Amino acid sequence: MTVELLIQLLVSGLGMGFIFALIAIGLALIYGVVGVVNFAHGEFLMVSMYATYLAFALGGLDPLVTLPFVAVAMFGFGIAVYYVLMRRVLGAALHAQIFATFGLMVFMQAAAQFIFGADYFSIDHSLLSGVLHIGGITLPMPQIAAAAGALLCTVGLYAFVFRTGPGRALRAVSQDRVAALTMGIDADRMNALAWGLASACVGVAGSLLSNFYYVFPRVGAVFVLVAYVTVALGGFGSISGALVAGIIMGVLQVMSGFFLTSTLKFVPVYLLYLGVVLFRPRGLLGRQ
Amino acid sequence: MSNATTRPAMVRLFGAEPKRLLLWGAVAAVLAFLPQLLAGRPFELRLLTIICLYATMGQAWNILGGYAGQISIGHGLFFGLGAYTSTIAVLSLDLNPWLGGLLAIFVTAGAGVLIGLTCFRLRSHYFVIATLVVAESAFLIFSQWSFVGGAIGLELPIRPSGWVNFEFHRNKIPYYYIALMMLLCVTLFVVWMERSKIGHVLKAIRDDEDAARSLGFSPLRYKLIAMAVSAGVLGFCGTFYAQYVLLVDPPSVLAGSISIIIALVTIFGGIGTVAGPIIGSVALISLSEYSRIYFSGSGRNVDLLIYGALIMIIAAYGPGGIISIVEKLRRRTERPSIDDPSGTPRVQTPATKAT
Amino acid sequence: MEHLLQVSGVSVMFGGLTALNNVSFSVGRNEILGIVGPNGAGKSTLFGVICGDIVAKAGEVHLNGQPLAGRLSHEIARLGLVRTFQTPRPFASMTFLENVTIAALTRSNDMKTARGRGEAALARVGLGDCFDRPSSGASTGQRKRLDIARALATAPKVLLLDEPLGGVDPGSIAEVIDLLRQIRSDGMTLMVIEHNLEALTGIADRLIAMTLGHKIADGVPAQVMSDDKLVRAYLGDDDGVA
Repeated sequence: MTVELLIQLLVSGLGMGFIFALIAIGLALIYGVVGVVNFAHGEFLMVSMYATYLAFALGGLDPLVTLPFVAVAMFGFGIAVYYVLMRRVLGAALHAQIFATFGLMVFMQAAAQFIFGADYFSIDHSLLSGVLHIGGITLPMPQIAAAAGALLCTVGLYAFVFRTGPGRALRAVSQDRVAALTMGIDADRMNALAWGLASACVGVAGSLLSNFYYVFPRVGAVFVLVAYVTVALGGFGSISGALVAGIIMGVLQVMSGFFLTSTLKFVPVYLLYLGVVLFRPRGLLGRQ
Repeated sequence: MSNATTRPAMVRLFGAEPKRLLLWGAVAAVLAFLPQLLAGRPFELRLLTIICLYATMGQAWNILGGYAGQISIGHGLFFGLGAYTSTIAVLSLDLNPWLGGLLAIFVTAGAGVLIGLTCFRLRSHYFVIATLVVAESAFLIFSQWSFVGGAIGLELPIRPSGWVNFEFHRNKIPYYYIALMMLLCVTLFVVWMERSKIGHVLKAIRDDEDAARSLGFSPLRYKLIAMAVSAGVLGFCGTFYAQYVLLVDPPSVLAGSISIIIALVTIFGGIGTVAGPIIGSVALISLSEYSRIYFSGSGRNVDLLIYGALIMIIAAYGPGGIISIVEKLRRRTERPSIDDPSGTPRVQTPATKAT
Repeated sequence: MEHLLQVSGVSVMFGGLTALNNVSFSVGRNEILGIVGPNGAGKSTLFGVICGDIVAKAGEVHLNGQPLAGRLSHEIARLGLVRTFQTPRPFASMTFLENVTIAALTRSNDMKTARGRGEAALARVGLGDCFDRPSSGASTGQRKRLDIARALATAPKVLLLDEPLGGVDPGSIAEVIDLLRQIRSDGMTLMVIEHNLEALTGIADRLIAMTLGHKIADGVPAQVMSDDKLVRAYLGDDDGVA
């Protein structure tokens, strides 16, 4: 275990961490504003990855180029899902809320497998491929770019949530729905906005991820469980918490991937979820 | 005006008018003689057997999910755990499979209680995720654990057909009867439970846990009871399945899709009702098995495709399942009777509490 | 009059906020104790501590001389301290009768007996014609009475009512007050949080006034109601309202 290897793992972990953070931030946003867990969040990631891949494989468009389009498309998709599906279940029984997004998850996963088959696709030789040499350390370009992109997106989201009118309205609904309603904030539109933004974030993450990660129907499932843990660790409604926790997750996951067999690398992550919700339900930065 | 004390004895005992009982009796008779009609049609026999199996598992899930209100999407864990427990007992301890099944019940009920003790304090969404996480971990761990055969799994020894061996080779009808008996037993249990103290307290906990606690009930205790029963039944179902297919491996007994289907047949049919899991199982398992024939290659996930769509539609348009949709239609066409001019509906539908 | 319930030196902190500050008082057997004070005074928090939902940072609660420290809220309810909530909380998927039957099941395992006690409890609060009505569609007044019937069905020693008149239409207030009077003459001890001071002073034997977590007055209604401190608390002071 050399210093170079350690640094490589750390950087890799940080790279994945920012991606996890971006995915988790979307979940946290939806939970904070709308009040439900989006069980289909991973599938939104999957869809954006497939979209990016198709643009590359069929249209020759580089992921970097298609990224903004994917983000916008996912924004629209998120809003559509909210209006078509979620709005109906928000006042209904708990199991209806759970199963609405859960059903969407099952459907989207099955649809991906039905349309594309179970094959693993990958994007090779995109603009962001290759490696970077710093000192004696070899760092893969796609991961670094992903980290940078995710960081940028997070900063952008922060700016939106904390500095703009609509962002403040989102925070108001997240903190106190009833009070926000009496202030004239249209909670329904805020819900849709939150869902759209969360989907856009996850779209960016997927687009960046597809530079260096395989694209396959269950890829969403792989990432979303980590996202749940991340959000629980960070505090379920907290965006900042999701950011910090995401980074921790990334490093943890890369480290355990190195020391345990790759199949088991998620088990410490799952155990961490149980540990967090049992011993510190508030998470690191959560309210409640 | 309550007529609780004026209903005839039979109604109070079985909770249904005599003609309803006759109907159920007729259904039971048909089910009992059905296999004789299907001699020589293995596909239909298998279909019926699997329908009974999933209906049983749905009933078990319903005890925890429908009556106690604790939604688990990792319940397949107990099915798999039961299958592995009895199989390992048969292989390493040379235990009779039926005793293995008994052992499976204890192990899975115990596991359920352990999981409940740790996870029941979690609030709704967190609990759901926890069930998913635990089940997923089990799948991964069993796939890597050599003691249980890892990804390859375990094979049960082929023994001569017979009830003692819990194996039937040429004539699979006894499997159907066993599954039917399991369904009957668990259904009768749920019917009893619904009218008993436990059933009422579970429903109270489901509707408002804090209010139930303020009256003097320990929500944890009752949830654990529901979990133990629920998990135990699933454990025995796992044993049944192991003896049915004589092979136990992670994809066939610990897959996430099993958890999904168990929950789905109940929700589709009607969560919190007795007939719900049965209706759901008949409808969805038939759908699944027949679609497997017509979409042979990608058969496996065409059912998931349909399931996913169904779950969404049910969640958005009929969270109470088929039964509540039927109830609503019935009420709309029913006019207030002379005896009950107020027309206030009798409460039969499961909870639709606003969150 | 023996003291059935004794609260001594109870303090509760939520984060940095002091919700209850060194509150002490006692409740006599068969007494109706009223608790008054502006919003945020800590009245419901007090109920929460007594019933075990909230853990106090300091102080003790004794029932019949027995300390309640560390007990879980359902255990405390079993011991005979049962509360209602500010907003009625019926079991929404069930009828009125099913609601009270469940409460009666805390005292017996037999469904028939429990149902009988449930019917009696409903009749007692004037809901005798609502047995099979779904609890989710009922009016606020009915649901408040259902809460009381439910609590009664557990055969409590002390009944803690949190704003039993809240949301009840003016015409029915006298009925509810009458009901409380009847319940007391049947031997019950009651603690009542209420904002309707006129109605409360009519039946309360004693009043406790609270503001900002402090007990500021304790005595017979006439005495407490004319206390300057209470008037100031309700109208708001320079210290502002919590």
